[in-house]
Amino acid sequence: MPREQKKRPGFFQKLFGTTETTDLRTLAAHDSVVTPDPIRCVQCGVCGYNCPVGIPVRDYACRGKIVDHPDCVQCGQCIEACPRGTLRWGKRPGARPNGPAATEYAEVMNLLAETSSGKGS
Amino acid sequence: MTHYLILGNGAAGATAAEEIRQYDAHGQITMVSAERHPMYSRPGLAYVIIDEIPEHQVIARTPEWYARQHVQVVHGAAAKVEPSLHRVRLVDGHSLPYDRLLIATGARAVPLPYAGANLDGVVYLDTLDGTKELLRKAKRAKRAVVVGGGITALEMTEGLAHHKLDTHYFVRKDALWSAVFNKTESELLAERMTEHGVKIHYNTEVAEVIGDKRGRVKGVKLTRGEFFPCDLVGAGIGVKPQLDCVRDTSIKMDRGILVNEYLEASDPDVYAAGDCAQIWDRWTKKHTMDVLWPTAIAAGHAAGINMAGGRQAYLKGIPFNACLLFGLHITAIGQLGGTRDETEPEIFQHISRGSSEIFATRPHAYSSAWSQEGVNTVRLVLSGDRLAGALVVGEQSLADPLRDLIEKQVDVHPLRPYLQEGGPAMAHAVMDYWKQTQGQGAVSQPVPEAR
Repeated sequence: MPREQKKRPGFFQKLFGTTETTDLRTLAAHDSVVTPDPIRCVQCGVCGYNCPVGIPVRDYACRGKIVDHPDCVQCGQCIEACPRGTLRWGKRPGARPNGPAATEYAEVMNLLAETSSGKGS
Repeated sequence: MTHYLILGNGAAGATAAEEIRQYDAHGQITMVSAERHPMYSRPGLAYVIIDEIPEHQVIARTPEWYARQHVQVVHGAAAKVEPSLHRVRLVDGHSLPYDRLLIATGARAVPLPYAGANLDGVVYLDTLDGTKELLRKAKRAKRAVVVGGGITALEMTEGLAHHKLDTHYFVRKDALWSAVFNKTESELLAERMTEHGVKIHYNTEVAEVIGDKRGRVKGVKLTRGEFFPCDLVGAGIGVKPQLDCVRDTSIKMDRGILVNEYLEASDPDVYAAGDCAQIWDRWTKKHTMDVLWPTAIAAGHAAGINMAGGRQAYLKGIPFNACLLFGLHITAIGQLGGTRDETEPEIFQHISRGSSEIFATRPHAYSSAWSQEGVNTVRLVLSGDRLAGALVVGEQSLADPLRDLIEKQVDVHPLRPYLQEGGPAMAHAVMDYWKQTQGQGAVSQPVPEAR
């Protein structure tokens, strides 16, 4: 049975007061990485279930580790799906401020996000 | 070689095992697990019943994890701890010796305290197997009654309504989640529940569950005498720590096993953590109980370190819970003191999952401040110029700042005029003030990256 698309806004949106569907493309940038607040994590596994590339996000979140998995496409679906607001975008440690290369990278990520947001509909 | 024995395979037990292994590569770790599943997320069961995730997704540790950590799992239940002999007798008659023992048996749902509690159709949202049973039975049921005043009962109500059952929620009081909510917060949630098709019956109490000839639920009898037909009864009246194995032993207990800040019980080499432990709290100068996931993790962590020979105090943080009920985000922090009646009979005073004894308390002298914009509310409980608690419903941007201000006990006297005034201006002032005081080191910096 195909899973329905999420209808209600995620915790992340509530947390930052965005009422419309968050445009993830504006959030992911070259130096962003999914960052957990472990005290909110109850290891329910909703994050990993919503990861399109199958990263076990919970294993990172519950230990307070940034999701620096090489396969992460920074789509932000785990952030959107978490019912407890555990995951946010954070700065990748040691990241340089956005330069031209970063902007280019962000463009690629935007395209990726665009493609991935079309899935399931 | 040290032999570590852990009773329980939940949040506290598994965390302790992982921690012990970090410090002691060779020690023998044995876990006694009453359930046949690997460690799973109990709070996650609420997301299973609203179809956010499939059942197996709540399992948080793979069998390979146990193998990698060299943890041996024994399926069974402890009958009695024998501290003087340094061993634990299991229900099946076997005995397991230990050098260090962690009791992390957790808590279980309290069975309904009236006749008919064992009928086919009385369900609990407490274990993975119980949740599977709930879902199986919900499939062929048409009308459900849910009883209980805490988060679990509300989550169950949401799940049953989600599965298109005619869902009736019975509350003994005239308000919802009375240990925590005030009147307005209760009304906001009630409105959401009604939108989801739930019928709320206030001041309604069940006296007995009635079954048919085949032992299946056919309805409930209310204390006011009438019969209410239904084919499913969801019970969420609270949980009780599992303490049978320490009863009549020298290990000291009150509502839970009494432990100090190092998670040490009264007997040498015995530790306790998680929902079965009543831990010394240096802030309230009392042993208090929490039935919260992060508390169990933090206590399990410290217990593991101490069992492996380290020395780490577990300093209780401010109790905190973020939950999602009927699409409404709710964050509870610290002392909130709802409308609960302290004089009610003990049987109805069980703590519910996702709750802390602290939530239901208030500081001795307190004042409160309030802001509401539609469904979004912020309630602050103040003790002098310090925040003692906060409840944030709906829009959550103040949740983290408030947790930070409460945890650090930041002096909020510059906010006084705004607190008196309340409303949106107060909410903005709190946010601005938090930003100013962040130099004192924030809990987290939830700043989205701009392109």
